[in-house]
Amino acid sequence: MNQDLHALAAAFVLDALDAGEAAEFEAHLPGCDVCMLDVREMSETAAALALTASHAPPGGLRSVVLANARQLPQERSADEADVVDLTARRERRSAPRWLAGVAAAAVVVAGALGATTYQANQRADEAQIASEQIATVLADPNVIVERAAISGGGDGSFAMSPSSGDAVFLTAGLPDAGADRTYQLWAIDEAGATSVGLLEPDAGSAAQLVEMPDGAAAFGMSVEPAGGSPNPTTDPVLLVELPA
Amino acid sequence: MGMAGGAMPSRARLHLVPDLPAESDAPKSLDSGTSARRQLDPLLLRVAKGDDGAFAEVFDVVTPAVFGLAKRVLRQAEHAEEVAQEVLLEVWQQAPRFDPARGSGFAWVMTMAHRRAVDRVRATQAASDREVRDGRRSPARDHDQVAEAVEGRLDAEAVHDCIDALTDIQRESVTLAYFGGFTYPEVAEQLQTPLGTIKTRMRDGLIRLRDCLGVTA
Repeated sequence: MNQDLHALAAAFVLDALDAGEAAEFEAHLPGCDVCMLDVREMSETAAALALTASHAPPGGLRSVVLANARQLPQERSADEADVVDLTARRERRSAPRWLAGVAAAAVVVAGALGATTYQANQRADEAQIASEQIATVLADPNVIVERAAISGGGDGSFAMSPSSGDAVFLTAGLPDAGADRTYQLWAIDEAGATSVGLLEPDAGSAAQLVEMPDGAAAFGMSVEPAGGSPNPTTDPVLLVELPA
Repeated sequence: MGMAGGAMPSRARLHLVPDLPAESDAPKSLDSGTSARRQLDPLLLRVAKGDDGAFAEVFDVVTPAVFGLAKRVLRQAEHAEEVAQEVLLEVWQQAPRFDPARGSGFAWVMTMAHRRAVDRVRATQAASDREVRDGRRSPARDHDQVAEAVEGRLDAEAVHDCIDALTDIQRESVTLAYFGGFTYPEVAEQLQTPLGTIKTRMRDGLIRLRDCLGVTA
């Protein structure tokens, strides 16, 4: 068995194993010095192959990446992570490897959609959980994205994962709702509007998770008395129709 | 083109640019080939401290390879641009975890880039579609020469020479997996070759490339 696993080092480095085999090989790695050396040398070799594909990146990529990186918290180093309490470590370890990157992608998308101050000031762990959920929505290959101007100022983008109904509402440049007023979010269908939460903008920007009920035909936002209303009492400042 | 008798390219070509002394305890690897990639490790250590100026330099060094690889695997510049964004931001986020004692910064970045490109192509395009559309991947010298610095091109040429020195089945096995994003069973099917043979050819192909390129850990 170990012999077989060892023989997979090259396929592992080339990402040519299926997920199950890759996990099995990764589990085998720490106890196999020869495998570790193989993986390391072969990774350097495979990286060299990429040189033959070098291509000038699109012009706008640099500024987008640099701007987004400035807003994105970095991981702690391995040393610092050792002093994190056990619960946090367990969560960190159990998180699939793509998650951190998907969260990064969420910030890219959020940035691209205009929510530039996205969660920058929230406590790190809250931000991480929220950004992971947001990332899951934005990583859905079937995600629906609709954008609309907000009457009164600013604009909003609404991204929904059709399979789960989980959605993200991104907005920027939103004026203050006014004294004793709040922005309330609605899922709208033929029967009327159902509240899906109060918006919690930070300096006019928000990236907020929304759970849309099945069959919603539209997403809307209105200005309501502080604390929200059971039903909208004003005309919506934003209305986004969803594809059937 | 098969095995060209006695035509192993010189590995010395990858060590042409010794303009900076390598740190004596750093792993010697392919990135000693160009000064830009050799400077990547110290740059990444600065990025790990939140240095966004260093990150801009890292971006300039690695992005042509990251974007080019993603473009080759995904065949759509738009998707490749998204993947490149994700990879570069992952570099920024994960930089505190980068450990130069465990491999070069360039390999560290390209490992992330390849995984993401392959994950994306498998999520969005069925292997059968890719096969029909694309056929076999020849190691064509189609990289963007304008985009490359002269020293980068020298390296790319050396890698091409080493790829050319593989047997046909070694070359197909390695390049279908690396540039095509195919799993080894998919490679076996395309080449109509038994699974075990493909596994072995990937292995000896990479080992031969490693030796040709002078990679040491």
